[in-house]
Amino acid sequence: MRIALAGNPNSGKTTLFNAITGKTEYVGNWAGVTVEKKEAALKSKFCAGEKDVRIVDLPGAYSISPFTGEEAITRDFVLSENPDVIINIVDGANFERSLFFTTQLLELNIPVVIAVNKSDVLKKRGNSIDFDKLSKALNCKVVPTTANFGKGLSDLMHAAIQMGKSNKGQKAPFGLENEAISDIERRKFISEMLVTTLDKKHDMSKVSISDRVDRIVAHKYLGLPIFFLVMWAVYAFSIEGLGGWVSGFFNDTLFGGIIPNAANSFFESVNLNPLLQALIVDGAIGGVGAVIGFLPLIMVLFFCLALLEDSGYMSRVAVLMDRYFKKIGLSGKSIIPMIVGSGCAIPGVMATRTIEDDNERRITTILTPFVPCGAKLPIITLFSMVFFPESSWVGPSVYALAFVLIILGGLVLKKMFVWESQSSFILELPEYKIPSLKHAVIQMFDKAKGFIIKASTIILVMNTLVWFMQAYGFNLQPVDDQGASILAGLGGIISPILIPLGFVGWQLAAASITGFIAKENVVATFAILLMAASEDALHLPGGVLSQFFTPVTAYAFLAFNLFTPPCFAAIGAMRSEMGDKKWLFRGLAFQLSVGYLVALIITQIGTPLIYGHLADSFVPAMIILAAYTVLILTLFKRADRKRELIGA
Amino acid sequence: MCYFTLLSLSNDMAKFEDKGLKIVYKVGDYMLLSKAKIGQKGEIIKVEGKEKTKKFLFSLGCSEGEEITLISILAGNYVVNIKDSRFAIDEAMAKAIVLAD
Repeated sequence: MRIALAGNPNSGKTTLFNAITGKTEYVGNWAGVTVEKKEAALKSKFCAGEKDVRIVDLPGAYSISPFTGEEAITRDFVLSENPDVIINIVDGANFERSLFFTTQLLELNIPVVIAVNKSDVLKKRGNSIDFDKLSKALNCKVVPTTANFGKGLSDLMHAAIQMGKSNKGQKAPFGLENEAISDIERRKFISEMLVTTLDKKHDMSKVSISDRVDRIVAHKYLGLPIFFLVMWAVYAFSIEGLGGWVSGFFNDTLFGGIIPNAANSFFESVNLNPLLQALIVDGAIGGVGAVIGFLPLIMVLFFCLALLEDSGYMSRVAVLMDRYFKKIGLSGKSIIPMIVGSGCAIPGVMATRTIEDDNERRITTILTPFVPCGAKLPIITLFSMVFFPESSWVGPSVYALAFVLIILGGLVLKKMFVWESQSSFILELPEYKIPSLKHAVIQMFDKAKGFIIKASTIILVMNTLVWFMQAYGFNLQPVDDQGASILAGLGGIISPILIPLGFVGWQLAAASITGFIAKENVVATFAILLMAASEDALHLPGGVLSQFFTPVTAYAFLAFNLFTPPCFAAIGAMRSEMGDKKWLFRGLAFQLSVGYLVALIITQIGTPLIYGHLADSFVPAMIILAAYTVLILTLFKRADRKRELIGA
Repeated sequence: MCYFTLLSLSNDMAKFEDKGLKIVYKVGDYMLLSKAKIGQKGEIIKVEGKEKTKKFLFSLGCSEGEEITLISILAGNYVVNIKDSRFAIDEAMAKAIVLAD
């Protein structure tokens, strides 16, 4: 039996889904959190003896005719995949509006059970619903629920499974033909029905506390500073605060000494082959450890983001950013993928689905990976610890730089590609709620689990490979000098391209390349390469990394790894959201150019500014810069000609 | 439920057609949402714009004959109450919603 969950955005479908399946899918307090369908088995305690009950969580929709991409997923599912039962989640706090979609679902001849969710909010407002009358009027079962606290769920699932077993269709309480007329008649039907079923005490058109908070956090002058303060607090707490402190212990004490020492003495006691021992200790433990050490930092980040997303603040940020994003041809909705992307770029890129206009969505998809994701935190932290131990500005500065690049990047893309931005900005503002600590803790451990799985699979395999490639030559014999290894050979092919950026050495090319598999690999690769060459810990201020960099080129290298295209998994997400190879190619070329040019500019301007002499690679860098200028101007001109042609 | 077709809209006059009957609203009879005062409640007499957007607004309950309240203007966006929910809409959209005064 397959039961689908459908309803308006932010009515609590995923919260209900998590409660009845035991999953930990992503929830948040804004419209459009779920952008794909998710399927899982119903917990056995809700099954009422029925075997194999599957629950399908669908993206929220205001109506059966889709306005945005994720709503289309819902329409396609309920119309063509024939679920046995639809549970229509109706938001008790937005009752009348939610019923519009209900009337459409009732016409599909699929049994519908209505869950009136957020019953607690309904009660708090002093409103009441006559569930029996409602059930009669709509010709289907109605169950009050509070998914947040697990209330009413057994009744709901019991009713749904009964309906599924009975195999009866659904008879709509009204007969309709022409859609254009019927939509208006639906409205009329609902408002007439509500006269007898809804007892409304609370006037929502009065200014509420939520509105007063909005007037401050989305204020035209105060809003932006408040937003930056909030984001700064989140990152300061993650990177410098609790997260950084625990990570420091992990890196210095646990993975810097205790674990490798214990492993070494254990392997020596069992007389393991020294090469195998080196593979395990230097390759696997060293590389993965260098990454796992940052786990606390990432956990704290996701904990804070979960609190933020649960509060209802995200929609306000979208309102606030709308006017700035309009200037670069986007709308306020584009900020949501970017904030989600600060955790991980993959859900960030997928969140672009909620944007209606195709071009706006593509540009947002290109710009979202510029926001440093959780996997890039280890790189940021490593470089600030080694090269800028005394200053706390490095972490926040890369986020500020990301913001600047998004705005500039948006402006350039707007000038480079011709399109008429017609999209309008409409966004629901959910009422604020006190974020749930339990939810944030669940999210945090869920993300931690994902991170450990990633570290013990893809990163471990990559590290083993990197260790092998730096220890062996092309003749598959162990080498004494890393410079003769396979990795040095491969890195050497790419490293000339990086010279204009001030990055000298095959090691840097190798680290950057492994970063495309997963960004944490940049750190892991350095750990492996340098552990084999030196005894010093990687994370010490002024440590072994400083043989490759000055602080200026270190910052440039950091920027290069943050702003070039994201990891392969995120590129895959970009591909599916773009739905077009040409746009994917444009996006990647753009990201590669931005990362390259930003690093080049930092090195070439920073070096004379701070050290009083030109960087060694000044001449080739200027040639490349000139070439890029010509290219960009040509593309601008081409776009201008196109604009003249279509008279835009 | 009324069903209007907007014939013309100028600074001081809006002409509508309702089932063949011509209705003229003079200044004072109608206004754009963008000109409403904060806290003002009004009945929507016309929503203009792209068909797709209009349809979307309809599904939210923002259509002819419905009530809308302007709650605040935040950073250039208009926060309105439609059927117990808050929505933020941009200025262009606020100019496309015509209210009876």
